[in-house]
Amino acid sequence: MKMWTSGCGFCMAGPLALCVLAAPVLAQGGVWRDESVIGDSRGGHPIGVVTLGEPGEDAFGRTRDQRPALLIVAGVDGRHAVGRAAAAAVGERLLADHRGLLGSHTVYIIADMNPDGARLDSGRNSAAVDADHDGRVGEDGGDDLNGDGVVTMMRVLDPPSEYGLETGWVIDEGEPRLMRKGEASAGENGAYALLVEGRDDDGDGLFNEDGPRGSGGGGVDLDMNFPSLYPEHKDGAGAYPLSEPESLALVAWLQTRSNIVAVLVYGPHDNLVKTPGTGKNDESGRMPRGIEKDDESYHKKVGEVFTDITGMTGAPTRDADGSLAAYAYTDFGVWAFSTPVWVRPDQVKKDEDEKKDNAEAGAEDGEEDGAGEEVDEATVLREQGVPENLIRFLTGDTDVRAAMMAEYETMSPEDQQREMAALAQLPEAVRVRVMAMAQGNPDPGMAAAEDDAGEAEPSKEKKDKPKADKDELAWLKHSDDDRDGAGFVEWVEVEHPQLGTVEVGGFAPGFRMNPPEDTLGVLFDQQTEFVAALLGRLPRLAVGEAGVERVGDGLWRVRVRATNEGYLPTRSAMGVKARRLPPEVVWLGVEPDRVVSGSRAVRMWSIPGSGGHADAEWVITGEAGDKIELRVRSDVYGDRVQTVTLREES
Amino acid sequence: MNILGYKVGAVFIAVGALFAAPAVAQEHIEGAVEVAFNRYHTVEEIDQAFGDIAAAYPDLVTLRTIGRSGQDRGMTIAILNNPETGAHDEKPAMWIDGGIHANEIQGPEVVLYTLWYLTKAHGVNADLTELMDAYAFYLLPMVNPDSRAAFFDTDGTPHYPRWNQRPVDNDRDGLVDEDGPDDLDGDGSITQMWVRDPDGRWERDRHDPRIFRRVGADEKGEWTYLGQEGIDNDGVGRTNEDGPGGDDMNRNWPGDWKPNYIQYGAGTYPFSNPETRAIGEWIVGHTNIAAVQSYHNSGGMMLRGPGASYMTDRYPRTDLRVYDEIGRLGEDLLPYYKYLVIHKDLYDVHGGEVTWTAESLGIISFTNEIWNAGKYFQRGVDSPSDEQMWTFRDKLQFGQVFTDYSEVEHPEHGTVLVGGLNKWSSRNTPTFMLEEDCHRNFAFTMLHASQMPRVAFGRVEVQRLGGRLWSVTTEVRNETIIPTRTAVAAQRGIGANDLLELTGAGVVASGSLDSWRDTTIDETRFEPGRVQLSRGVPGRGSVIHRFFVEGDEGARLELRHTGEKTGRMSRTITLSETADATE
Repeated sequence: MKMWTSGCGFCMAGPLALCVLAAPVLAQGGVWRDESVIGDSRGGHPIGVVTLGEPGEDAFGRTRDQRPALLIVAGVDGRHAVGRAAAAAVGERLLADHRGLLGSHTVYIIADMNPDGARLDSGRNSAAVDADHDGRVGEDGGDDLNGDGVVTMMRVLDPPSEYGLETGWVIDEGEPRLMRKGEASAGENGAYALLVEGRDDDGDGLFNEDGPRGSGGGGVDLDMNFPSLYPEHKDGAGAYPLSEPESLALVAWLQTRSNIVAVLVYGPHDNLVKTPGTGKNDESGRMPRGIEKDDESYHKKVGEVFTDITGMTGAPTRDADGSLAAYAYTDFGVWAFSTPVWVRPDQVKKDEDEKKDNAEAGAEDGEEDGAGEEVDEATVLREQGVPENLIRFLTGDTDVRAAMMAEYETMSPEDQQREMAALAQLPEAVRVRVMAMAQGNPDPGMAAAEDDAGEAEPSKEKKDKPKADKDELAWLKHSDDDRDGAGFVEWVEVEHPQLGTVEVGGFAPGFRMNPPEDTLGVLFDQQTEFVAALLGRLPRLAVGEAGVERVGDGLWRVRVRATNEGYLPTRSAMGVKARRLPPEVVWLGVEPDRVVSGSRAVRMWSIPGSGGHADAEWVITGEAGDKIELRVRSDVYGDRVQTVTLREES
Repeated sequence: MNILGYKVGAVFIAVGALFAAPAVAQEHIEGAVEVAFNRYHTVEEIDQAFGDIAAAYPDLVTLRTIGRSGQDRGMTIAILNNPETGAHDEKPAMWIDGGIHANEIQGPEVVLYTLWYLTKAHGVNADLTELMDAYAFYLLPMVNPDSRAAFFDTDGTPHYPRWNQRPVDNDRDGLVDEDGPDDLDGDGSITQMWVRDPDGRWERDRHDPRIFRRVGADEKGEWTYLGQEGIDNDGVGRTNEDGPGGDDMNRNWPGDWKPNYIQYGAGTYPFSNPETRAIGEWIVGHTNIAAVQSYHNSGGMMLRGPGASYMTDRYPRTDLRVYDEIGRLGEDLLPYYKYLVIHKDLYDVHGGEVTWTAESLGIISFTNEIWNAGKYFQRGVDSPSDEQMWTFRDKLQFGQVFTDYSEVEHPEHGTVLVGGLNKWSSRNTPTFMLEEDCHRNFAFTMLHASQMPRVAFGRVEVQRLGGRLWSVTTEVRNETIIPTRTAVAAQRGIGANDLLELTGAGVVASGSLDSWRDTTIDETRFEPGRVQLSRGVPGRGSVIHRFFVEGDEGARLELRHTGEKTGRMSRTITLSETADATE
């Protein structure tokens, strides 16, 4: 069997061509290129940033670090080799083919945000974590039991009872390589447990709960470690927001780069094919979960530009809690886009489909591969009005539930009654789950509970016959049809030291994230085209000639107009709200006591694109012939100074 | 010790025997370093006092610089610990700090008082000695030394400078700190400015010209209020709109941190300030910290979280009982002070210090707001009238918190009157009452400290079940009200579980018992000799665990309890049928 595994000794992330560490990164470029280090990873590896842009000062006296800039960040997830390679390749192609854009704009590239993860072929960094709180660090990760060099999954028929493993899985009849939840109502007995390949290394009765390639621990997921919507105390989130040197280095560096207007993340999750939602906020009610309504049409338009170029019709997404993209948008206040660079071939429009209506292009939520990543259940529950303590109960591990049950036992009867009354208010589906889990039963799951409840909304698919997960079927088809079966490890029986005979198999790690080598050229071309298109749509500020009008004897009106000749507004609605970066300010250079009307410092928070404008206007005293200096200050668009003379006809 | 009406275990009673001295002549305890608490101390004076006390009590006090402030002042903590009873980081410790809001100048005084009083009491006063032998203390007097220096050295008001001195463009004009207040009359305080104005709506009181009164709708006034003392330094037509600083460092902690547009003063990101980062890294790195106290002013409050309503679930009932018990007793120790909840009784705080330690780290934490207006007259006058306040300032403070009005030439307004209540007024405890405020707040914090977990092994029963099989039943007791793991820590998986281990012979099975009367165990299915106590040892309670052991009579086993907060303790158990199997 041909395995899809590594060819590169540095990061084991995939075929050599994908490994950014083995190749000189953006070695070309000469004086148009500069490289520096923003900080070191936890493992001591430097995190580099490459600056691309025309050297020297431009017509406005701006250096590279003073021109409107796009920041590209890749490799936040160490397994996402295609992102790292794309970041480097896009940089090279911009230098080769788009020097014009690099005269008016700057592109910063951090191609390897998580060097530890890249080396470990891990989604996380190398932080020491005690995920199961047992006083031992990283002691029980996944293990390669079948000797194929990778950790996949393990299915166990009728597992020994002492481990309390959650069963409920069946082998799909139609596609026996895939597992799915059995449906009791269809007469199925889910007798299998499904878990990450590995032993209970520390003998605590849990499998792979704390360590690399396991289902918990094994470092910190940097994309959960940023302050926005921070998922505190969740596995992978870290000790506190920005507890990790990598995420802290990036945020600290960003504070010194007030010329950045957009961030593009190459990572496993998309927000371009599917525009983030609007109208939902965090618990404080102020920070969007998604994007601001007023930014939606712009974000969507950029997404259309992206899908026109890439043909993508679907891509994996996940909740943004603690992510870099969420931070860049909701806190740093700049446009933030993200793409996996490559998606499954059936999620890309074929050439012959091109004629079809573009509007059909809909997004599709894809399940993640790898363990421990899931749609945020808490968010779903919160939206159903489930109180926080019950959300914690439903989403917590058995320890959490046990502690809460113990807490409940100690309550007074009145308090217990109050809790029960609150429970009775909840949707049937939630109540069924809580009651089942309170009795120590495994989580029946929302779907099962909804079935029991019989009043949940009908599932999107007709349930004539249970079928394997659509997404997994598609991945399997891609592996079979296009990858010579390399994406899937066939199930083999293995004697497990604790569980008896088990079967090991499943999707090869990284397979669902990284493409075959022969597609790379096309992907890099697409991403370069998109970056060029995005740079072309960034805001451009033009300041018109100031006008002077005589109001009366020794009294003058002075006005100046700033126009945005680009497409995007000078600041997103979120950017205006966040006020992280200073606005454009027009300073009037006269003594304070000469100003009759207007402020000497006029702030322009956002100017719409496509020719939108903002005006600053004053009435001042003065003599004909006086020269007045107007200074436009902008961290993003450069400073300009003009001098106007007070005279009648101007 | 008999705090909270609960007798502390016999282990500590022996301490009393160490005191050879007869009963002291008076309540006062002599110390090696005298510090006066009828005055406020500058940054340098507090540093000096910390140094002097550390030098006088080298066996008890170690100074450690944990970081540097924005203006490069050392952030120096005193580690107060008796090494004879163990290393400081192997026993429960309390973190105590003050002055994060630098204008709230009492805080650092209470922290200094704490160090001063505790050191001189060690070996002299039985209660406090016993407290210091059981626990360690980390004392940071000034979280915000730069702004305390600004308050004392340059200018200040009772309300300013609260933030740190980090340069920030408050008015978003691209310039930084370009227009702060100015001390025009040179009294070291920022007071008020008034200008004579024929259309003014204010007049000076005929009997007491210090008082400006608003005139009635049909009356004519003579004065207009110009605001805080200062000039329009940057000539934008506004005065004092962008002064020195900064961040509100009590909004810069990583728990429920929200950016500036949600929480004003938050700083650029959690721990973006060197001061908060230094403290945060110390606290995160010292998992033995089991209690936190932070001192602010004013209003007379003992505050607990949550800082926002949606964090209520971080205070499970068993933890609330701890807060309530300490807080309510605190109301007796601190007259006119109330035990209150931050978000409910004050306002929402995102990214606060004690809300972080409580809600994110699971440590029982209080903030005290020192000083309450009820203390001026103390006879049921909770909110003194203006007239009463003038009586107080004139007859008790001899006018020292008021700067008389003087004429100053102002560049924009011509001749103005500058003066008014100075920075020593209003929120600050009058100096002659400072020692009492320090002592009562210190005493409250010692009450809190005394309730940090104190574990000891309780009963041990060894029983031969037949052949080489024995049952060994053990008990770990906690004498105080704070559990070794708070409920929020247990529920949210904060930190490591307590461990109960039995080694030296083969443990074949084990399990917990709810009481000594239970006959069957709740089995610990895996690692029966290494038991995870995810809920720790409850407050004023115990954990009973029964091990089934295979071993020969006379075999010696080691029973060990390890807790993040309490460190490690062990005892030897002999497999024997005699009554006392332990030693």
